[in-house]
Amino acid sequence: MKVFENLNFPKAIHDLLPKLLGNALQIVVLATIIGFIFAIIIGFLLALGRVSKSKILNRIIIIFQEFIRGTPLLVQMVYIYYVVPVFINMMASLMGYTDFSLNIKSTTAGIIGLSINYGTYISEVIRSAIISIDDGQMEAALALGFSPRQAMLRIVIPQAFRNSIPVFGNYLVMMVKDTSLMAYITAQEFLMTTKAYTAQTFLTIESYTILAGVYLAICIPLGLLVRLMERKLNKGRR
Amino acid sequence: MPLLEVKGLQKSFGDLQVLKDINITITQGEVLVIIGPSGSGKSTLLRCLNLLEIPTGGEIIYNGNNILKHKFDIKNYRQDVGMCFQRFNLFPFMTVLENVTYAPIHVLKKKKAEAQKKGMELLEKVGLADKAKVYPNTLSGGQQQRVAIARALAMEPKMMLFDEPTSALDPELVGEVLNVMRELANEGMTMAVVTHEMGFANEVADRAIFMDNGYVVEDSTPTEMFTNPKNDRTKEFLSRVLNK
Repeated sequence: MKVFENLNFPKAIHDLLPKLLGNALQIVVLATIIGFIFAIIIGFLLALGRVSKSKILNRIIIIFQEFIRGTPLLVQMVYIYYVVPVFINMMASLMGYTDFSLNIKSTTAGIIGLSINYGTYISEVIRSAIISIDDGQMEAALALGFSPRQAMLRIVIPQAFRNSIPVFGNYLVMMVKDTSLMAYITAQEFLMTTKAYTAQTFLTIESYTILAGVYLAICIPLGLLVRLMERKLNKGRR
Repeated sequence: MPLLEVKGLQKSFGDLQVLKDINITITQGEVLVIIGPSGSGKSTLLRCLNLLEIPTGGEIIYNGNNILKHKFDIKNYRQDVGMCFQRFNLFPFMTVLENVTYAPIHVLKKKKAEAQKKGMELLEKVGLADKAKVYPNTLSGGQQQRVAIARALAMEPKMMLFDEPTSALDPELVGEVLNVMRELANEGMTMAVVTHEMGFANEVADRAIFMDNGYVVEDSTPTEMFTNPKNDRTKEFLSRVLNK
């Protein structure tokens, strides 16, 4: 086969791999860590709102969740990167700040997109974990003189959080892979870097194979780590 | 003056009226047992006394104050009234000692060392000092219930409510929990106990009430109730429970 005879893996590895493991890896790791922390915070807040007694708050959050779940993450990122700044600048000029001009960085837009999108899904994980905690826990805390709010934060939430950790792990691995969507809004992550390299060298097969390898090299160990943690957490329970 | 006075208490869940017209008083140091068939409203009454259920009518007077009044400090009241549940409801992510010291530290704002000292004393009292460092899931039901009693006592309550404390236990574990309760009663703790343990009721209680269908149909001493019940419904129930 002619295609295979012309492969030049040594060159592709030599050129591309340092780029991937340098700047691109930095962006991916940064986006994943920051994105995930904010996703958990957002998820936690949304879940708290959903288990609160306020009907209005519940309504608002449900509508928000429907918007996020009804649109692809890629579209959300594009929207945050291209459309939102235009809106904000328009509002600013309407309010008289004519020299105001917001320019959002592609990585930032990507991280915001990841946070909001994952936060929405994670909120449902946390919410169902909260609901699954036995009512007796809340009652016992109330009977000991805690306020309903304290009982929720001190007794119910810690248990719900603990029970959610294995699912969080799976979302973390998914988020690593979804950073690739940031390529579409020009963030110099793995996919974008690889694409740029193939455009210069036409080493298409080699480059994308290396790209896949890099994702695997990150995601498989991460997945194993998550499972290990899960097993450890399950040990001390019922 | 009675410590707790319940007047015309009512509780409905939607269309279902569980408590219809409950009138009881509990005096300081008294041990009251509440017996009756399932569905008679015993547990609901006990839960109303701690405001885990909010009554739909009537009054509960504690130390001269109506606790159902708007703006009554429920938190403070609950610190005065300890409760033990059928299913123990220990906090599974805390050790036994942490279970006992958690509320004193975070609600009463006690110093940690002080709370732990008191906690160990209470665990000693319920015979579980050696289990202080383990998690509840490694304990038997009877041990868990004894920890739950210690946890409630750590708040230094004026009164204790027990909601079928031995119903979820294997028969051989019932005795150890009843012993702890008996000891408490002997120390003069005011107690309201929903139970099916007629032997315990007869021996420990100062007063027994029999509930049926949302009413207190008989209110007397346990001896009187067990040997000479007045009400037909009580007679029927007791003959079935005692001669099983």
